[in-house]
Formats: sequence, structure tokens, C-alpha cells
Amino acid sequence: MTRHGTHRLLAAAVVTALGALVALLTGTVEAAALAAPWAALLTLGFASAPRAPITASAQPTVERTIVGDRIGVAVGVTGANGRLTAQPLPGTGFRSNRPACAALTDEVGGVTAWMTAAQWGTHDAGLTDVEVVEPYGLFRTTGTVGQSRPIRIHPSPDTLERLVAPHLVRTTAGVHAARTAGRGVEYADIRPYSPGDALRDINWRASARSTHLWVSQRHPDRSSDVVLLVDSFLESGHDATAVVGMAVEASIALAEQHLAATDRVGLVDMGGVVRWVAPGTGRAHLHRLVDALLSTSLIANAAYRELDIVPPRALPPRSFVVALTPLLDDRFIAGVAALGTRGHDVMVIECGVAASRSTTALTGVAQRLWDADRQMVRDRLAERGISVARWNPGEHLGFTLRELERSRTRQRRPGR
Amino acid sequence: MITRHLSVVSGGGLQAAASVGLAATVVTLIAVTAPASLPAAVRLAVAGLVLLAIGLVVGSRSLISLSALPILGAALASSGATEQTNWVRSALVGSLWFIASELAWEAIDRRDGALRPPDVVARRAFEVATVVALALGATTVGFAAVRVAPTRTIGTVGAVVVIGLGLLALAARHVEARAPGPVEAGQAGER
Repeated sequence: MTRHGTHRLLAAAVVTALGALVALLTGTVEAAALAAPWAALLTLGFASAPRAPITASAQPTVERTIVGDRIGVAVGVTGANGRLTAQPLPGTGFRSNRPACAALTDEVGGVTAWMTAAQWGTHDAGLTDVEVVEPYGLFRTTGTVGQSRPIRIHPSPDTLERLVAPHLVRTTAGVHAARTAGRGVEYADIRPYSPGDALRDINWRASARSTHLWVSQRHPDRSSDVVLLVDSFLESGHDATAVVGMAVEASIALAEQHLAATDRVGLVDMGGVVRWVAPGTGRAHLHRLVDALLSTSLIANAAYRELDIVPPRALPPRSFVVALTPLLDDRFIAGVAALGTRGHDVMVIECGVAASRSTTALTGVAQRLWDADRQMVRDRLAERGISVARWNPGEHLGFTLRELERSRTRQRRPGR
Repeated sequence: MITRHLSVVSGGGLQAAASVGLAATVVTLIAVTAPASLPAAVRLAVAGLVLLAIGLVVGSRSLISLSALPILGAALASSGATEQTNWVRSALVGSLWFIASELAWEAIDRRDGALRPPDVVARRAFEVATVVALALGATTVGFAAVRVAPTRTIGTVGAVVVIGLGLLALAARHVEARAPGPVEAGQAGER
């Protein structure tokens, strides 16, 4: 913290000195009377100067927030009276707000200065520009205080009205209707009454039209193991950061919704580095998943990566795998196809930036070839029972999930 | 550039308008009370007003500080034309110009964007009022001292100035201890 004189000090000193000098030299007391306010300002300002050095501290008030929300930095000052103004240094990932201002009395005080989270990820915050203007404004002390601390900024997830129902479920209770019949809510079928059936299961409408009793069968509600498979391979020629950003945003939205539906949710980040979070439930697990997703980074790696290195605990058998990928890296596509053949229920959300439509004939041909190549990839996956739906920037994820649901209903595999 | 600086209307516009209004009042006061044979005093006062206005528009605190010098010159020029000493007018001109300068500084400070909570505004108003009250008090003491010894010599004036400043210094410590705290001024709200 550095102490400076202000423009008030200079003005007061000059006017007082000139007024006193003119009064003394010319004997015109009016000069002294006119300069009296500046002399009073000078005297009061020096009389109220702090007796000890000013100390200040700054600390963010939260550890995690959501894009668009404000985060506060608590600034405390001791050793001075006057006016405190604080403004956090925004740095990467934040947008600065208006400076915060507060009065300092009894040589102690503080204020909470705000900034807005602008970019998801893990970003450092805490450094704050502080200005203390002493009483009467003759001196000000300025400096940058605080220690930088990582703040996790979550993307603001899309609110999903409904999820894609997994084909494969666990035996524990949940909200997804199983293919088998049993105790549940969703109607499945009717069958003739047999001794031992509960009276409440009797379908009275069907029985009234028949000479026998009929009972309703229902799908039991079950939970599922959901594994989010995020493609973080670095592909050249595309806005890789934006594409991975879409995948991360969608993953967080899906993780929140599936965890709310009592599913166990895990994460496999497949790219230059393969990382995973074993499936789990609960709020703390959501934080684990989000932290892992926020630290997703693009690392160029030419090595062949296989999902075999992921332990079964992280990728349980018969789990519902949601792959989020631009479908550009052959290694990832091969991994997704392999999962389909290993008995997992797999669907793909194709995250893609909108391709620019070219006007020239040559690039138009190239564009059509590229589109055909993309379609071939989708068709190859569909042959393995893997549904693919494209999710474009700006579209609501719910539309893509609905398209996937329709596609999966068409190609639902029997015998589950 | 002018348009950008005239965004003062949204931040500190009221203070800027009050500052210019007060400065114009001071110029009028000088023009009315100055002898008709001395247009230099009025010109100097107008120069002070122009400096203050330019300082407000371009956001220069130094220009606002400098604007006190032409006012000092105008007061001296008009007082030199007459043998009669006019303490009250000088003290009034000095205090009003000081308030105008403070308002102009405040208007520029508010352009920074920081919202001023009520206790900060109250504290600032208290400080300006304290300065003006002490200045007028010291001037009154000086006026009384010169009435007792009406001969305008260097020694008399010097003694008045030194006594006035000494009284100011003594009063300053007493007044500072009674500055408004957060209870009197109200709590700062979260913004």
C-alpha cells in the first residue's frame, strides 16, 4: 500500500501559501480571509492523518459459482478512517462490476466488492485494487491486496424437462421404467387373474367386459448407471475449445438431472489424457463430477487410446453410456463402437459448431463430401444400435434428447 | 470526447450543476461588489468560472484546483481599489468557491462509477461543513482582532493569520473526534 497526496493537498497548500504570502506582503487581510477555507482544509486533513500504517486484505467469499452470477470479494482495512473504494481485478473468466465504496470509522472497516463470472472453468480471483481516501481527502493510500485463489465457475446448465430413458437398469429403485413387469407406476399390460394376485391389481374395466378377472401389470421403476463419456481429443481445423465447452455444459446438465433421478452417474474423459470418476450418487458426487469436468483440457496426443484402461468400477457392465463428442477423432469413434458391442447401452450427442456454407463450386463439393463422411460415421454407429443426434450451438439440449429418444424407440433392441 | 465526459449527468450530474451554479453566484457577487472602475476583477472571476467549468467537462481535478487562483486575484484586485476592508465578502467568496470546488471534485469522483452509500455522503458533507465553519470562525476571530487593532500593518496581519491558523489547528483535533460514525450516518447497504 502506497500513500500519495491528492489534488486537494496541492490546491490547499498553494492557495493557503499564496493567501498568507499576499496578506503578509501587501497587508490585505482579504487574502487571508479568502484562503481561510483551504487553510482549514489543510489543518484538518493533517490533524486526522492515520497514526499507523494502513493494512488491507481481500478474500473471495465463495469457492464456486455459476456463469452469470456475481462473486464477492470481502475487503477489510484497518488503521485508517475515511472512504474505502475496492474493485477486484477481473482476470480471466470474470467481468468487473462497479467499484464498491464504504465509509471507514474507528480505524476499521470493510466492503464487499463484486465481479461477474463470465467464463466457465477454474479461474483465479482475489486480487483487488484498494483505495483509502483519508478524511478531508488530502491523502490517499492505494495498492493491490489479497491472494489469488481458484474459483470454480460452473456453466449455467440447460434445464431438461425429461431424460432419455436407459434400456438397461439396475435392480435398485429409481424413476426409469424397466422393461420387465412388476410393481411400479407405469402401465405395461394385462393378464388373467391367478391366485395370489393382489386385489388392487385387478383391472376392473377389462374384467367387466369379460367373464374372467384380469389384472394390470406395471413396469417397476428402476435406477441406472449412467456414464458420461466426454471426447477431449484435440482435432485441428475446428473450434475445439467451443466444442469441448458444449460437451462439458451438456455433461453437467445431464449429470444434474440423472443424479436427481437417483441414477448413479460416472464420468470418463477420453482424450490426450484418459481420466474417470466412478459412478456415484448425491450432491457431493455432483461436485466431484463438475470439478472433473471443469478441469477438462485439450491435450494433443497421437497415442492410441483405448477404453480398456478404464477399470470396470468406472465403467460398470450394462451401464447407460452417453457420449458427448464432435465425432471427429477415429480413436473416440472406435471406442464408442466398442462399448456398443460390449453390451452397454450407448447413445451419442454430436456436439458441433455450425459449418459455414460455402458459395464456390469447389468448396461446395468439399462440403458435400464432408457431410457424406459424417453421415457414414453416424450410419456405422447406428448399425451397432447406437443412436446419434446432433446438438448445434444455441439449441436447447432438450430437443436433441427428444430426437435421441425417438431414434432409440425405433431401434430398441429386444430381450432386455 | 465531450459526449463521453458529459455522461456526468448519470454520475455526479447534480454535483456538477450545483458546482457551476455556485461558482456563477460567486462571480456575480464579485461583479456586483467590485468597483465599476475595475473590470479586471470581474474578468479574473469569470476566468475562474471558465477554468472550473472546463475542469468539470474534461474531468481535470487540477484545473478545478487552479480555478481558486483567479478568484483570489479578483478578490485582491477589488479590495485594493478601496481603502475599506471587506472581511465578510472575502470570507463568503472563499467559502463559496471552496464548496464549488468540492462539489466539482465530487462530481468527477462519481464518474468512476462507485456508488456512494449514505454514510460516505454524510461523512463528506460533514467534512465540508466543518472546513467552512472553521474558516468562517477563524475569519470572525481575525475580524475581531483587527477591530481591536485597526492599523493594517504587516505585523498585525501576520499575527491575525498565525492566530487564525493556530485556532484552526486546535479546533481541528476537537472536531475530528466528533465526526459522524456509522450509527449516526446510517448503514451502508449491499450493492
